[in-house]
Amino acid sequence: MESGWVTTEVGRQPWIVYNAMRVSEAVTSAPAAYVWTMLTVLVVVYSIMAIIFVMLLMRLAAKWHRDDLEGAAETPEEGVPYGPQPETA
Amino acid sequence: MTALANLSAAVLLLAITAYSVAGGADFGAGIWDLLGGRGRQGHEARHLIDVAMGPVWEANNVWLVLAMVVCWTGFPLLFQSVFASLYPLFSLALLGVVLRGAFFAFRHVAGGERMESASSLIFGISSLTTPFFFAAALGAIASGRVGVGSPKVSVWEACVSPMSVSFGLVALAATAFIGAIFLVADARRLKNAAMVEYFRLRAVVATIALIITGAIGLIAIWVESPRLLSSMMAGLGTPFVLAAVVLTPAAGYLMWSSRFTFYRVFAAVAVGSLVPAWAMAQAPNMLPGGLTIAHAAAPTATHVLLLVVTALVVLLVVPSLGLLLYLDQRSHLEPTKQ
Repeated sequence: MESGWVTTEVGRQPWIVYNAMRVSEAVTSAPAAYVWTMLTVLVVVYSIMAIIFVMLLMRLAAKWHRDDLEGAAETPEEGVPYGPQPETA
Repeated sequence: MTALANLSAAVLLLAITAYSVAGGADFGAGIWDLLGGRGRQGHEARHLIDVAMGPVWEANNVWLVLAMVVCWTGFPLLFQSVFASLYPLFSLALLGVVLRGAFFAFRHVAGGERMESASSLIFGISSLTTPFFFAAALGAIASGRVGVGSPKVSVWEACVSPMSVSFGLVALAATAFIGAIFLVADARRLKNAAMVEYFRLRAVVATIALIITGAIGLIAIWVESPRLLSSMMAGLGTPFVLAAVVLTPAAGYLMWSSRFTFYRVFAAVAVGSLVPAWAMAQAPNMLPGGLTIAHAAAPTATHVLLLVVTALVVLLVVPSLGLLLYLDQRSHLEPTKQ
């Protein structure tokens, strides 16, 4: 799917809207330094968040696995912060 | 044609207003979370904020998305002008939106004190920066420093002005104010008398802060854009100015005297009047002294489609958001005690 997307984006060049607007006409008036700074900040922030996200998912999975083995939790979703709660609460 | 464009502009204004109230309450809760400190009371306050905010987490960003979509679809020239001049403000605000949502979620499952307090810190700080920079962008627009199509002054001159800074400060005080008031209501719902008291006092302090920053904001408008001030004082913005000026102290007084009736409605109307007080005063201009609604509007067909989509959004989102808030207020969505 990603490759298909890249193919259409690259194949459309130099148009950003096919036969209507060129990439050079659509580009921002902001200085290049700003664009690079912002891109770097976004890549760094999203990378950090992605790493934390995967780390936390693995931690949760390990915790639930432990709970299952020990038979500690009554329902698999117990202790999940979001979503509807069982009526018994 | 103009009627349709005006209707779309009204949708844009309503979306921003809804975001300022509903999103504002969320940001305010984040600010109190940051100011809670490390003590036992701060811990308890943070727990209440978690319980109050968890179920509606990020739901209010639906208004932000609606405002953005209406802006670039219905008024592409406005969108282009505003972003060309004010991109640093929007970048900082949107960075805050991303960090805030993510780290609020992270801290629930953080497991480990250091990770949890780091998440709380990032959540709290981005709760300050997001409303500040969004409101600063509105202040910059109101100051008339945004050029039509492309910047007319340097980016720093456009972004940093008495009006942009004072609008940002008003937003901080207003979100802290409505956040504290809504948390009083949440504490009452959860029958936590200590927390009712805790947030009641903070609501009083925030009322004073909002009155002071509001006065500073009016002075900044008077200095930078006297014409806007005069149409706020006698024009379409006037009812909203009056509502804010009367209902803010009224809600603060109700908190001061521990009278828990109408305080939430008063606070919501007071904060919800801030954006229209400015926007209605400068109507039909979208950018003061340059761009009117009719001039900025996309072709008629676009507005027809946009309004149909808006109607569908209202049909889909309003009932579901209503149900969410209803269940939330009936305490059906709290996490089970562990």
